[in-house]
Amino acid sequence: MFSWFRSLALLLPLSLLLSGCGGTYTWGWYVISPNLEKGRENLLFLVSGLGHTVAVALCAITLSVVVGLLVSLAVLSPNRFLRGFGRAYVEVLRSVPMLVMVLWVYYGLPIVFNLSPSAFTAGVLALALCDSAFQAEIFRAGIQSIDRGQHEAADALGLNYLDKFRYIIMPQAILRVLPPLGNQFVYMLKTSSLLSVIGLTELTRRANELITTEYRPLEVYSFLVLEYLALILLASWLVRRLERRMSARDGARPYSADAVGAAKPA
Amino acid sequence: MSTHTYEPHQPMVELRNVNKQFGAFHALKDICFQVERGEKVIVCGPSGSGKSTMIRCINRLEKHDGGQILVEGIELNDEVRSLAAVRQEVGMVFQQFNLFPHMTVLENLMLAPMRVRKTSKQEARDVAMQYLRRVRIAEKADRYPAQLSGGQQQRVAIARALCMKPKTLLFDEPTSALDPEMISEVLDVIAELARDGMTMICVTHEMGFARQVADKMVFMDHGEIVEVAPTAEFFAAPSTERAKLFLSQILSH
Amino acid sequence: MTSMQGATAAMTTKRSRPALGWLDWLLLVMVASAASYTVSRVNTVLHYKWDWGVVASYLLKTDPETGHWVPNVLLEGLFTTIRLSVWGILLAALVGLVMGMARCSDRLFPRLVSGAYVLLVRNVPPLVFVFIVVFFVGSQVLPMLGLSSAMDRASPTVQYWVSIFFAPAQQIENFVAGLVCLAFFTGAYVTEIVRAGIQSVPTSQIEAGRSLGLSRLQIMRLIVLPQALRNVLPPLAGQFIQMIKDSSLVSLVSVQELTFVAQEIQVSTQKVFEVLLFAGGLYFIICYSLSLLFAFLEHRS
Ligand SMILES: Nc1ncnc2c1ncn2[C@@H]1O[C@H](COP(=O)(O)OP(=O)(O)OP(=O)(O)O)[C@@H](O)[C@H]1O
Ligand SMILES: [Mg+2]
Repeated sequence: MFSWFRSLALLLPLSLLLSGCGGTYTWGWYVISPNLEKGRENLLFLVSGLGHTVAVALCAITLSVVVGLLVSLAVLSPNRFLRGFGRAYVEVLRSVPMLVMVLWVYYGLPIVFNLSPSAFTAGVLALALCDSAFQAEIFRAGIQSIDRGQHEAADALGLNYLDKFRYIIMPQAILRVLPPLGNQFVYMLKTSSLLSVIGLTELTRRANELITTEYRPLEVYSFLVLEYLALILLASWLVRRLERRMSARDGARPYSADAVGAAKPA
Repeated sequence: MSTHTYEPHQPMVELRNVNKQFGAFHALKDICFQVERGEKVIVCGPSGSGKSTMIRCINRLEKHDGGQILVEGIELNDEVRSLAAVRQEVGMVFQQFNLFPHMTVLENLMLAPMRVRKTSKQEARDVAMQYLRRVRIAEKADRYPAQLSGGQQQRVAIARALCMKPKTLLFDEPTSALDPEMISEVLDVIAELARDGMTMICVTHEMGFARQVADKMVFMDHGEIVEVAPTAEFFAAPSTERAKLFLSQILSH
Repeated sequence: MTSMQGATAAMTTKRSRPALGWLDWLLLVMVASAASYTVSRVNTVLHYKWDWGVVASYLLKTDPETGHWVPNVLLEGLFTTIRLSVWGILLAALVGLVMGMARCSDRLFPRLVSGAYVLLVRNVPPLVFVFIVVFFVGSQVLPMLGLSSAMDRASPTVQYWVSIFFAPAQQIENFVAGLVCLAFFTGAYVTEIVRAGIQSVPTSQIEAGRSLGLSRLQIMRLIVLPQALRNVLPPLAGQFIQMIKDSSLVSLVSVQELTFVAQEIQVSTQKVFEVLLFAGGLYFIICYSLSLLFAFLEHRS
């Protein structure tokens, strides 16, 4: 964490340097200057996208956790059809770009099912679908990391498959998947910016809207970057804090998301 | 096939020509032996000889691929019902304890009776406390396994197996993962169970303990049963060279 | 973990394949009915006409002059995606290698520069990064370099080869901007992977190299990197596959790759379903074959 602050300190002179070298570009920070009436208005407008960014990420991660859990159980099940279905689900969904999925859900679903989802619903659905494949891999790795002795003890006591998962395996696996799950949430916050394409008024969309009226892309985007930096760093910090508290309480060994092939860990 | 035809002398556990293969490796070769009701059998043999594999076949943690295994006349096969029945009758204690780390000692003991035998919570708790007292660890009922010493954990594991009121207990090297000073507290508990008439099959290298509790010794090597003999006979004069060598090695230190 | 694998290996060797059980049938029936429900919704209830011919016609066309089959926009888009991916992977690997080594440097300045780079890129959405780079590089830097005017002045053969390996002259600026974006975005993640890989090599190896009198660069090149490479291959594979998926983002800044083209066709023909499904399928094929390739490489090394 501390080294990040030093890097951050370096970013400032660097960006000033860039603004000097900008050459043909003349900066106009007045658009988002807190000293001016108009600037304050613009700032508020930009920040107003925060609600949608956070809400869409929260809804999507909830949905994708549920779906991912079911898929991971399918992947691990003794039934070979369920296993095949689970594997295919994961392989296909994790290699479809999020943008294509967003477009497909938003423009394609209305045609097939005759329901026209709002940008928010479509966004949640698309994010959750793509993410559920990664979520499934996280759960699978978490479940498989439980010691074989736990399975054997449960079997030897005569617990059936469902009870074994419900009482023995899942409660332990949940603790281990929390850290990578938190990382996925942070990743969701970032990818939600894609939903600006279908008109969801989140942070990125707000920035683009302001640019079309003010035509000051670099200033507005710089502010957007700051917004995301603050949001993402805060979220990662919270996730790491939660992780530390969980592992301190239960002595569970958190493992890295890289090991389970999750999407970009934050 | 697995009906309870009345046999005057039905053994508790019976293995008939059991074979087991791990890929190309032949881990169990034509294993035959019987355990009578109330009998205590100690299994010994060098490392890798197939002791664990055999004992794990008896409650189907491993599937055997040839021969028959009968527990109280019920044959172990792919049938779910007979497997469930056998697992209720046979308890197992592991080398690594395998307690459930996210549950307290009491919860560890109450889970299976409530979920499998469908006893009430109150009854499960009473039974659990009774067995915890029996293994002399009642005061740790609300602790988590990680807060207990190895010997205490293993005694909890024994109590957990007992809570299902099994007729037979399997032990796979119950003291091998313990520090030396904790071995006797666990062996004492097992010896007490033996005195109370529990049927037992126990894999162990503790020869003093074997001499004290066993009715019958089984010596295995390279996946075969080399020798089965009453305890006194086995220790006094093993009839095979391999058993003799093994005994001399294990008793010399 | 190893005992677990041993157990599953043993299980698979001895598991006899039973005939279909009732659960299998139930599942099959459920899948079949779900599929037929969807198809019937599409076909009858909404009178939606599947028209895969649209996809085909945008894949290939006949050249009006020569009468030969030539790739149409959809195939061109696919090629652009592949070009972006190949160059992107190479460039990202280069950026990641340099920055990753800087991250492990003894000196403060390289560490800070690469640290700031990683911090900035990894905590900003990919899309925002794309917008910024394209606005900055595309509208400020590239015109300064005069890339497209240089292309205009180049001979037809040069233009031909550039269009094969990169993009046609009129799209070259967009292409380069998109490529730079992808490479530097992925580069930040590769940096972290490289750093982890370098740090996974025990210091005793470096000390051994030093005791043999090797220079710092030689130690890096001959001892550390070869060992690190083996450790980083799996996460690197995941990152490159992620990059191919991220390449769809540059469609939003008018690089005419697969997603861009698919969306254009979709708008002009209203065949959302077929076109996007087809595009998604192509991405799947590319990503899946790449992951198979990496699995093969990992197996070999
Ligand atoms: N799951 C498995 N897959 C492959 N081989 C196995 C497996 N389990 C056991 N084996 C092999 O079977 C043989 C017998 O193993 P087993 O664990 O039964 O020996 P053991 O007599 O209990 O030895 P120890 O005293 O070391 O516990 C060993 O050679 C072992 O390598
Ligand atoms: Mg053993």
